[in-house]
Amino acid sequence: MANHQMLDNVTHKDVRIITDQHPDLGDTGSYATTFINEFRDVQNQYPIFFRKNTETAKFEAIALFGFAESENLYLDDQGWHASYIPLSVQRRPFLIGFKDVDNQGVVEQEAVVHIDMDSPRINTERGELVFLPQGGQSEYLQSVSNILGHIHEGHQMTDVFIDTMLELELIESVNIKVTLDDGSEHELNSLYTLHEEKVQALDAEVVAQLHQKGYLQHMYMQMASLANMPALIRRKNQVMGLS
Amino acid sequence: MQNPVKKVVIVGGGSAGWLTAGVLAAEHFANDHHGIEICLVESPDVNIVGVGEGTWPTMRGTLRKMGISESEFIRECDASFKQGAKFAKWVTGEDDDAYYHPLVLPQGYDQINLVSFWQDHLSHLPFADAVSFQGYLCEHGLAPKQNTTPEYAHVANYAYHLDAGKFTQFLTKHCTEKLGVKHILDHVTGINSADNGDIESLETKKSGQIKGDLFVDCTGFNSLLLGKHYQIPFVSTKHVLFNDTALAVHVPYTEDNAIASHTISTAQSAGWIWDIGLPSRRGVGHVFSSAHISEDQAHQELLDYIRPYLGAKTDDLTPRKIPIEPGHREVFWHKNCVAVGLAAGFLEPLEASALVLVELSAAMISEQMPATRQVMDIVAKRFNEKFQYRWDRIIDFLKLHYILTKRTDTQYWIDNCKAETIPDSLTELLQLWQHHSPWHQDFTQTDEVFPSASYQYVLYGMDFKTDFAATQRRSLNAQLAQQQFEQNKKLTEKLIRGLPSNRELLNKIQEFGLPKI
Repeated sequence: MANHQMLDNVTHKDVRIITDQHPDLGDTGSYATTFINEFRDVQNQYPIFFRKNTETAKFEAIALFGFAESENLYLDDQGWHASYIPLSVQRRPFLIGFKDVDNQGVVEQEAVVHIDMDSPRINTERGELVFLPQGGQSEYLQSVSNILGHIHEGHQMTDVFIDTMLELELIESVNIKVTLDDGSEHELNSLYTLHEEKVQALDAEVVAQLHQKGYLQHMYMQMASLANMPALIRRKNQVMGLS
Repeated sequence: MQNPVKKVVIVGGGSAGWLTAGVLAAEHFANDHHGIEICLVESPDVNIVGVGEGTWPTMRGTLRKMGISESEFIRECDASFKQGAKFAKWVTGEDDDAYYHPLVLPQGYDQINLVSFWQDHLSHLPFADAVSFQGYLCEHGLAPKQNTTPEYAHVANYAYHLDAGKFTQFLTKHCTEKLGVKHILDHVTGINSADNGDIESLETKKSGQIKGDLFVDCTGFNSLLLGKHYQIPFVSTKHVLFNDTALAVHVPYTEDNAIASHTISTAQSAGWIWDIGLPSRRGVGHVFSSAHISEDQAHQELLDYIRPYLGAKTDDLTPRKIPIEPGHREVFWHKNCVAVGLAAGFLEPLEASALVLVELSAAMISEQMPATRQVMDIVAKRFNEKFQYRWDRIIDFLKLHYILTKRTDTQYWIDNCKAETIPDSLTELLQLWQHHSPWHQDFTQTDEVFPSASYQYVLYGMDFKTDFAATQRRSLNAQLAQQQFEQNKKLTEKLIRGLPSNRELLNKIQEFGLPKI
């Protein structure tokens, strides 16, 4: 179980974060959650799919990095080879937690910054300081808070977006079969995408509504992002020494 | 002269009434003015029996057909998953005596009959465990699917356990709000006949006359239209299936709140006890033959069953007594009246046959809905033939559970094995199965209530021996059989690793619901 703690400038005053990208620092998972407020940047680099969260079974959007359970084809000893890294990776080892606050007798949940103390990025010798010597927030922490804010907002926006897609029955499951240069086959199931023909067959009226909400561009970005699949397969072939 | 059937009147507001209403309304567009009008008359003075708590997997299709969300159904009906039944103490009566009747088919069932291979090579394993993974899932308390599995889809075939009272309320709401069923709360005081003997209308206390083209009798044991009005005789099966009384009680969970994903049926001295786990409580009941033991004794046996779980609190329980008249009406569809549910007949709930018969009846009425009064008699004749067959098969199948016993500890078990209590059709089948095991050619109707696989599970679960010596076909497929056994072993291991506990999944459904796709 991960060791998540609410961040504070006493307990964590000496904590430093290594911000380099290296497989030893985690981030080797084959996908990361992504949000519609970063689709523009993500779709340029990674295939975007939908998948069911294993905890809640609710659909979420993900950027795909590899074909096996811990295979991130963008990450190696030289770093992360892409011009943009999804917010849910950038945030690490920080995350959003919630604490109950008493608002005039009503218990409300407030978003607060948490830190995963089990992360290999955490140490006291090198990397970015989280707190300034007097206890104030470092510039680095401010940028992290900013990222967490985007994630928090993006999460809610993406939930509504996906609900709309489900209501319109535009999401369908895809079985992805990848054949590598050596003829070996790899299969990815439990992924979903927007159904292109169904999107094209939408009524003008529905399209107008989707456009008004700003969804139309996200939809096309998701579908267009699948053009990154051949590049991902190329990376796989390279990693396996097949090309 | 053509008299189109445009209005169906259902009498009775239990699960039979509402399931029939829901299926007919959904498939005949009751909420559209081109559709058939469906009206359900429910007496506010009559209590529903409400102990039917086990279903067959068919219920998934029935609910889906009615446009019901499975997550909502599970939440609102206190429903749980059922992967079959475990029969304890039916063979020898000893503590280690138990077998499973799972809902999945034996591995590779469409290609190969594994019984002879199991007898020859794997009989150290219980039959159900050699050919299916589901008994293992039940023993481990696992759910039949994951929380990411879409609504109504399965990893392992499943049915439901549910709270019959809540189910009726849930269906009432769905049928009236979504499907356009007209709901009349009123007491039926009389029946008006037409010249041809049809029911022309019902006389009611407050709503006057209610006319209809087809009347569905869902009035429970009362059988108001088919039994009382038309005097269709009741065919008793008590000489075959002796049980005539049930004592039912709700048992709260203790520290161990695991929800069994199967019905547990434990044989007693003169009957058996059902044990059905719902999320909020267990439903436990003793079905027994009053000719063999007194109500007091049956009551004691029921409490003795519960005491190990509940301790001293057991004595606070007051079971509800439900008299049972095993049997069915001589015909089910007469003139313009068809009976569904208890009004048509009732058998002990040993294999959860009550609700599945309601579903099958509703499905046939719906599919064969007579377009006019002129063709109704033809439909009625076909309906009666089909359901006579179904009742006979269910009676055979239930009796099978009794006659394979080795118990001789009470007169009840001895009497159950007497030749004169066994239907000829069943005696014949058992003669046949001494030389081959039931498979695809043994039962040939579409929608058999109990497929040949069910017979396999009960026969070989109860140590029935088939002597295959005379029929050597089996040796042809030894390799394929071996593959199927291996495959079952692999599947079992995989599913035990991958499936959540039944309680865990039901909690997840409470919190998040199941995905639609």
